[in-house]
Amino acid sequence: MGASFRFHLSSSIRVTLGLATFQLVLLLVLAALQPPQARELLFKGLAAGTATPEAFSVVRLGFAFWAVIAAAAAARRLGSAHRGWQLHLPVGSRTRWAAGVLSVAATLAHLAVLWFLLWVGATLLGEPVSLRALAALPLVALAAAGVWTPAPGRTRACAAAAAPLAASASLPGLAAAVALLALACFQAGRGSSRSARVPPDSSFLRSLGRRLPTGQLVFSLRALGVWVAFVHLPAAVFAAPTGLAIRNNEFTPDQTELVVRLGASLGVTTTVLALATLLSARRPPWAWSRSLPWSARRRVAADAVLLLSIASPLLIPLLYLRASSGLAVLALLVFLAVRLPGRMRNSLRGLTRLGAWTWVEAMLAALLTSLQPIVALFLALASPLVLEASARRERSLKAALYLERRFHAARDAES
Amino acid sequence: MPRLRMEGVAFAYDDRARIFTDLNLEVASGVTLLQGENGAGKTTLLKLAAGVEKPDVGRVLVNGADLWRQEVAARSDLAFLPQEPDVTPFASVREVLRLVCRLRSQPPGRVEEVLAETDLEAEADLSIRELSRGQRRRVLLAAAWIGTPRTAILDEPLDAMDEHWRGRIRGWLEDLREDGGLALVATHEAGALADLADRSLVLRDGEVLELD
Repeated sequence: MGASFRFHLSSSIRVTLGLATFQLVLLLVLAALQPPQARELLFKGLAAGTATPEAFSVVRLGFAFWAVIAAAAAARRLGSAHRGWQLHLPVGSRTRWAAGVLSVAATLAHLAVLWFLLWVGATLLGEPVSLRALAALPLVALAAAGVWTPAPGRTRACAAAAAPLAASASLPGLAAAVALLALACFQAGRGSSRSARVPPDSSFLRSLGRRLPTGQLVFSLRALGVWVAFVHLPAAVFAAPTGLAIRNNEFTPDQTELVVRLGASLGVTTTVLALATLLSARRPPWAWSRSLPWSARRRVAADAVLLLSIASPLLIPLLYLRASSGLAVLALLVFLAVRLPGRMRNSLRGLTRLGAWTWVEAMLAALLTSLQPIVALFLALASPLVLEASARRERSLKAALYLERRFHAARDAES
Repeated sequence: MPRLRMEGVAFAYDDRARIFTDLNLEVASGVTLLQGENGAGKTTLLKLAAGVEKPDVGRVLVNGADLWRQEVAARSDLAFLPQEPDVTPFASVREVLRLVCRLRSQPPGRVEEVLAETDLEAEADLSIRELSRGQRRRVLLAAAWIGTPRTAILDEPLDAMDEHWRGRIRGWLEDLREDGGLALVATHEAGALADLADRSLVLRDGEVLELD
């Protein structure tokens, strides 16, 4: 049992170094970009929010959310330690789960350090602090790790419910979180080895797929898994400053329209780029299906429909409030939805899955649409041609090579 | 009569690994065995013939239709059984077969029939990733039996199959041959299929040679 814990923890240390460095550098860069006064306010606000005795703290909930996201990345890296050959070792499923949760939770060390420093900072600043806010820290980390550690769905659901309860740092909340984590551990022990081997992200979507007409759309949606719930987040990054800019400035109607268009274009563009990146990363090419009687255009169009259907709800409020800007951004979205499936199939080498140029190109299209809405008309008119170009890329994709370089090579460590 | 034709085909996975430079091949109805050493390019040739990979130069015609210009028409008569059972992990067996039924314009009821024919009824609602390699190959075999494809391209069809399924595959090839269909079969087990073969080819140094 001890050996199992040691093995998992040693794997997690390597993963922590990789993941935490990126997150902390990002955080430091974002903090450094703020003016000094804003930085001070930000630090005070974060410290007070982390240590506050009040049950509802946006900062702690934000930390819990961050922990869940970071744990997902860590669990993916550590996944090989929880399945395949490892399952034959003489370790009970509860021990394996507990060791897995601890190893993933250990990768959240950077978050824990940040949380602790903010709590100490709040104490030094004389803000009201609660020891329960510190006690919540390990529970949040364990709950976040439990969400992603391979286990039956009910175990993960218990862990997911425990995370926000622990973040409340109230006595009932902490007690409920402890009870839920204990229940999750109990459930993990009851889970059959078969259910632990089944990938946990597909059960809901699989049952959805049985009811709906199946096809490429449903398969792609399953490939995205739970991540589809987060692809709209980049849009929020642009929506918030857009709202603040309009609220805190006296713009003319034309200027307001421009700011709205800019925020919406950039938000929609980053969302659809994130979605395409995710799809390209999580869905291996299905080479055999290319021998079936359907055209490359149809396969690419199905991807375009998927991108459109997921990203377009963002535009509903815009179309309702400012129809002309909404239509311009919709045209941009249609253009990107037919462009990106082609780019997804043509990036064997590149900084990102889509290639850096794709991001530059999409951002340029978004900026041009914002500045000159007439550009949207050209983009809409060009869409059929762009769809054909994407279909050409689908035809010329070397499926076997793509699979080898993008999927098999990356997973050697998990085999 | 079905006919498969490759004209001036050149193909490379990347510039350092050129596999074919000018491949010309014509396969008529009947069973044609394709042999060759490991790494000779048999699988790649079959992928090119099945429309899985597109030639860098040249064209592939199935019954006179270009695989990459008349994509649907050329593939409507085609069944491909790859050596590695390549099925999306994000679907169940039934869903994959339903997709094939829809693309080959077959009634949805055909899915249940073909599941019964391939003894996959119990696995019908399992995710593809829950199946063994042999079961996955049977899913692709079931897909090949949907509709009436008369051009069959099979890569090591006996691989990962037990005696029962080897017999079923032989039976399928016999039926195909009697109905005037075309089967291009790459195999290392030529002996097991020799009595069915109308023609034997060998692939060597990117060229196809007739075997006596």
